[in-house]
Amino acid sequence: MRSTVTDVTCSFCGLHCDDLTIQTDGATAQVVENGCAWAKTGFAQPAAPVSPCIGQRPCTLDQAVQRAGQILKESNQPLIAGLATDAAGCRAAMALAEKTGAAVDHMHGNALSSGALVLQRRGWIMTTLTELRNRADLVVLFGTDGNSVNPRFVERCLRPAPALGRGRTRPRQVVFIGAESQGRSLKKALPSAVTIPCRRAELLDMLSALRAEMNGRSDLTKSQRLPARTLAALKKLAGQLRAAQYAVCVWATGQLLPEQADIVIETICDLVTTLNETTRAAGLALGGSDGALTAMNVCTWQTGYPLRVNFAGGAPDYNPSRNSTDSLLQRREADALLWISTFQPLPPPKSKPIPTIILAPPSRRLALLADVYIPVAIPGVDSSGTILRLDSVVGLPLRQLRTSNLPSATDVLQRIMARS
Amino acid sequence: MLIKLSNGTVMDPVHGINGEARDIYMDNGRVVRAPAPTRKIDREYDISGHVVMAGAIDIHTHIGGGKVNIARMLLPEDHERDPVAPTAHTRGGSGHATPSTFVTGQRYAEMGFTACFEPAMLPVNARQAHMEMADTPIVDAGAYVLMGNDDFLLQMMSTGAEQSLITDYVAWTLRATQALGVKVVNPGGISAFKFNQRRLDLDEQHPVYNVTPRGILQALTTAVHELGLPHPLHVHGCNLGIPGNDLTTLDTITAVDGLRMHLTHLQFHAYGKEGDRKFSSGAARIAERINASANISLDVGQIMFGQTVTASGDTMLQHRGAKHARPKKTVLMDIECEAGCGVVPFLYRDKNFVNALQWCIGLELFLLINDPWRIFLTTDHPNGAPFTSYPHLIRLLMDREFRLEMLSGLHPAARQHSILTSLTREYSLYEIAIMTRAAPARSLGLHDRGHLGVGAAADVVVYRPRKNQEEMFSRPRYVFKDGKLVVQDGRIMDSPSGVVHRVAPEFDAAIELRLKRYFDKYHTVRLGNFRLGDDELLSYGRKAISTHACRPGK
Repeated sequence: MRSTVTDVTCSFCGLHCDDLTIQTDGATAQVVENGCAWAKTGFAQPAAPVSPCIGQRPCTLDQAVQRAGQILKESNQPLIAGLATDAAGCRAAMALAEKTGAAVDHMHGNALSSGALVLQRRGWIMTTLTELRNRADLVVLFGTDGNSVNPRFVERCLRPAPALGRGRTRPRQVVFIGAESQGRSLKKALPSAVTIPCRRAELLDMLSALRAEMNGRSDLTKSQRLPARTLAALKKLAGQLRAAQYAVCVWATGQLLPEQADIVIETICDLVTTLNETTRAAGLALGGSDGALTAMNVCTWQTGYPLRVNFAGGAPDYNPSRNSTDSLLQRREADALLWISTFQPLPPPKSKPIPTIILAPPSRRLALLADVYIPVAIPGVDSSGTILRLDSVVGLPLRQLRTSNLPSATDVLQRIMARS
Repeated sequence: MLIKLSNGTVMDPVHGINGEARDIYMDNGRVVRAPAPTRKIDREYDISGHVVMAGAIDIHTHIGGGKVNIARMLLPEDHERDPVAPTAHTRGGSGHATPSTFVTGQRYAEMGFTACFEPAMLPVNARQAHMEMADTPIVDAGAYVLMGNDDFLLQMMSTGAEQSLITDYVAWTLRATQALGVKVVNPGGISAFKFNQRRLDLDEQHPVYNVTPRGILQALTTAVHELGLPHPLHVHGCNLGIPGNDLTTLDTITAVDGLRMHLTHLQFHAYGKEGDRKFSSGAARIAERINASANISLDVGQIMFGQTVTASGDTMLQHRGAKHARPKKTVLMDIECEAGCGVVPFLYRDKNFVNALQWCIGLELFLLINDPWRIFLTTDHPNGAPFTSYPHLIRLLMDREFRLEMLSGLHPAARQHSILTSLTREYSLYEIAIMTRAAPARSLGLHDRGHLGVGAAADVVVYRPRKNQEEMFSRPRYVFKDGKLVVQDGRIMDSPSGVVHRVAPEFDAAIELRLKRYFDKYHTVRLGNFRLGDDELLSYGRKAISTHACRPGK
């Protein structure tokens, strides 16, 4: 039977827009309103039945679960990674990690970890989407145009005029520091946006110059190799930041140069802290897709640490560099991998072969990559659940829209736990 | 399973039982009458000479939700000193200032606590807060939802909306977030800070909306009264931590005009500005007023010396306090046009004048306020100290000699500024049972908790009497949760999940039209998705939902 469901939460990026209209006939779900391209693709993922596999050969779910449990039991140092799933899935994965002495990381662990390290070094002043939408009279986008990482960010947060607080609100100015190509697409989405062109590798220099301007030390910027036009634009921006009533400084960690990410974030946070001595300002980290903030928060409340913990010694051991997915795989410290990617069938990073279990939506390609492959429900399409938005505060409900025989990742993880 | 606890010394203030030797029977999770002599007792515990009380209840402890989790994230160095490995009956994690959820539930149970209440749940964060509480094993939980700084309410008040609309909105919020009570933090101040206001006194105008903190307090206490919520409005007032706020507190008591109000972590709101250091104790004058005001209850928010972390909704004053952060890092957030949070690590030092006097002020309040039914034992965990310091605090209240010994090690000027040496009161076991069991259950409307009468939930704690009360309360002999043995001699024996407590007041659905207009215009979440339903709440792993009665107008 065909039906239309409104106010559906989308699970395909960290923005988790919850205003989608979906048409469903039981077997399929199609976005008919308010969906971006990612949402359309996400909801249209095939639900075609694919069998669980052991060594690429179809098997029963029970056999796959049994073999997965055995792999984890025989492993010295399992790694549970990917971790792209809803809150219940993360909680089940944590329980399994504790029982099997595994290390835990998320597929966006590098970005999450850069942010967490800045938080742990200095703290920060942050805001959330509804605050930004209604209060920000100045938004500075550092190295991201917003939409390329969260496709409806401009539409939902920048385009509406700030409206709360009578007589206090002013039209919003949006300044983007980044690649000219991104600047052009931002301009299309938001004609009033101003671009200060900047290559990715230059962002830190730009921030240093901006900081010098903010501190009234424009003499310090002369030594830098930035063009005069850029310096003039930064000088103007410094004035705008000082004069703004509520400035929001936005970044997307995944779009920063990895080796600079924490320094860039730290510098932006310093800027925000300084601004708050006289006016109001806050930061906002975009991205947060694939359940990143959900995984980070669940791991934190269950262990005290934001991911990259290792249960090998019993109690969780937090070591963000040693326990990263890349490092555990490259050093061959991990000798078994459980990869969870429930929103879309993304493959694990390439590494020397170790026994690999994959939990993902139906995908013949992934079935070929795994020793044990178990197709699972997509949260928010095939199963209901709860997820946290990119600002790490707002929790949203995910609904089941298709009838599906696929088990949820939570069910599968609990069954593996019973066999490991 | 029929369990008999034989010949314990029972402290059950709800039934006026003060140290009588009695038997207690438990069956199917409840306290039951003495069974017929023919009925077989499945398990008998001879507890002669032991003290028996109902499970303890913490009325104000930050155990679940965004800001606690930020506090956890912020201090890996604190967790690393207290790793916790899993056992056959327990999950692992880490401890100290903000323990992980499993460790929180275990450590509460190990001290004989069987229910804990999160005092500052943000509406948009209700899902996370409830999930964290569901991952806090053994103990029951519930939350007070944060209101009073949300643009919707301030807009309504600013445009002169009738009280009935405000009351409907409060009821709607309680139901949408599955809360047990309503909390206000720095009324209007968190919102004012978003417009760059750095202080907001009780009668000061909000910079944008036509409201004052006094008006917000009146509107919310009236709403709670009209809805007949069991727990009064839970108030974290204006000017937290600012010398001279003792007067604000006195004015706040007057402002609610005889309606019921709970003043939380009052120690932080009892500072005078007398003396050469412009910082003095306001405990005596506040205690005098509270002793004469039967409508007021409070919890203390005692500080203890050592490392902790402060986590509060009060962004305005946490920003001000950030300069005292130790280690030097602070997180502030403005949240969804409804609230905010501020997390500042803090090291309380006994040789620091201000910290030492804060310690004295808390104890002065405990000793000067007469009615243990209206004052509750808290450290505002983790803000004044981690909850694991409760046994030490109980000893400070029960043992004057010990108290004076501790006092003698403090900053000398703080000793001179406090009347603590002249206070001879020592709490009795009976009074401890009131303030940690009977009274919080009554204040929260938990009719079947906090006592040992027939029909009560079988949350029962058996203590070995010791001269040193800190040892006695650190390690009960037995703890039963809903009739199950969960702790024996400080070891967790079982980790059942607890009940979530809430209210479900009625309201006129017309408020939803108004809310829908607001949400459609301003919010990034749809009204329908804002609500946390029963099925979703139960799916987090709760044993049951317990709904408590409202008595409108009482």
